[in-house]
Amino acid sequence: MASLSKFNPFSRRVDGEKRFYGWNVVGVMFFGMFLVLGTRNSFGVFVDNWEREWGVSTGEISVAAAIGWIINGFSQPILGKIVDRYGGKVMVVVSMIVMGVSYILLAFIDSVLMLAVLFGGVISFFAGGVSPGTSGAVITRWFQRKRGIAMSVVAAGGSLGGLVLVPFLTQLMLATSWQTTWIISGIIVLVLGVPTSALILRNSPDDMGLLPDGEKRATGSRASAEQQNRAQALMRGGPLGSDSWTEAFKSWPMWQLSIGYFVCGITTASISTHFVRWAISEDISQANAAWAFGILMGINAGGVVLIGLMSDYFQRHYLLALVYLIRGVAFVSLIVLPGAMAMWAFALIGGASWLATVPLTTGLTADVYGVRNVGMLGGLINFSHQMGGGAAVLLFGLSFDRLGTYDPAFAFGAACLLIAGLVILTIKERKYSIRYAQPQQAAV
Amino acid sequence: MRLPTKIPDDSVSVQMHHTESVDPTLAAWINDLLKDLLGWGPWTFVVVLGIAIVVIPIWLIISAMRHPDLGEEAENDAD
Repeated sequence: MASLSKFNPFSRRVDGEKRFYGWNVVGVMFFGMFLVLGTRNSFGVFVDNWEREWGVSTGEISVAAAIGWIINGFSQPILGKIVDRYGGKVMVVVSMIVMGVSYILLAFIDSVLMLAVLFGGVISFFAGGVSPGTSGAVITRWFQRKRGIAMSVVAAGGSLGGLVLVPFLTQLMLATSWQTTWIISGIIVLVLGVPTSALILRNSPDDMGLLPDGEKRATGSRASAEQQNRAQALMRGGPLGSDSWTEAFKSWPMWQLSIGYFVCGITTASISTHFVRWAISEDISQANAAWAFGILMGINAGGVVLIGLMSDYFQRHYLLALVYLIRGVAFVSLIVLPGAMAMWAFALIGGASWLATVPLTTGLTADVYGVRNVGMLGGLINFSHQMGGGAAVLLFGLSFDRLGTYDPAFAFGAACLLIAGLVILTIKERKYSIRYAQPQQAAV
Repeated sequence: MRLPTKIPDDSVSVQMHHTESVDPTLAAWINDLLKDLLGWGPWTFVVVLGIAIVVIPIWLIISAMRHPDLGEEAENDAD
């Protein structure tokens, strides 16, 4: 039993002592992602009301959403850089305050222009402050050995936020009005999110005199020096780690990870956007489609935690490649299987890979390039995700318009995923990751 | 079944992956499914899910406040 307890990532005690405070930080970031992604996911719920009240089309409201998509992509490296410099706490708290106030202000708007400014501009920009990139910058400072599971729990928070907050806000809107729903969303973020983050979040274990992963402080000068070297190596990363984030673009892993995430954006954004239209074109019933998407999201939350846990014991790039290849199989199933069966196969196979790219990519970035620039680098990799997603939404729509079927677009997606899997497989993790550095290398 | 597709109409829907919005049609479908499955009215959903949302931060704050490291930090700050 004692050996089994070593594999319990959430064990209450570290080395027979108290539970590591880093898990409280994981809890706060989980809740931050839960709130921010959950409320942002709910945007689509309000579209019908705005169309009716303002006399506008879905296409016009889409402009606000599209602006938000682009601004969010640009904001992540900018805010990531600030997190690298000043720490995650101030960024998370400020972002939540701005978002909470902006949600309340959304209740008073009466035009698409104001929606574009408030949602597409302000909210989407500051959503980058509680994003996978910036939360990765916080978590990677607290964890090295258990980085994968810690990151994946935070990522699962975003997934669960969508599962809980979308139906919550939908029902709240049915019971009240869209204006009241936005006001309550703002109050939830301000009253629950801000104090939780302000009270509990700490930028790094060093702020509390702790060490990453809850390691006990060594006694004796030699052991203490070794421990200090390890802490410095965590900040610096592997042999490619540098003070300047621009140096990362002179090495392959940064490009390999960005290419993978670009494909991740292509394949998730396209499916999410075109899922309903595809389901209708295949004569799949509403109830079945809703069930399948719900199951996909549920498997997604479980899958990301499982993959994150595994990534702390195996080389991350193997798992990341596997995730892309599994998603490729899901895309192939959309082409070769008949309608409803294809949908269920995709929900089951694709669900396991939907979000698992997040902790693996962020973990690898920190392992290779160190923690000090991970906010900026993670933000830039996320930017490639947003660009891939934006392009794919257009391409998949064009393909369906011209050809009357999604099959060629799905084949394109499967091919991209195969390429992404192969590109990720070529990352030399043993050579570049701090996880595999020899003690003398780590101490340099 | 062939459907008319306009590109701009697509981009509002999406993306429960990283940051973006649920498709309005899909949200309505999920809403119908939940109503059929549970038979609850809107307020029942709001109360049940609302409790789940409130419980998480309360548990987080209690758990952190009881953590000895936070207590030590407060004592050090006071000193």
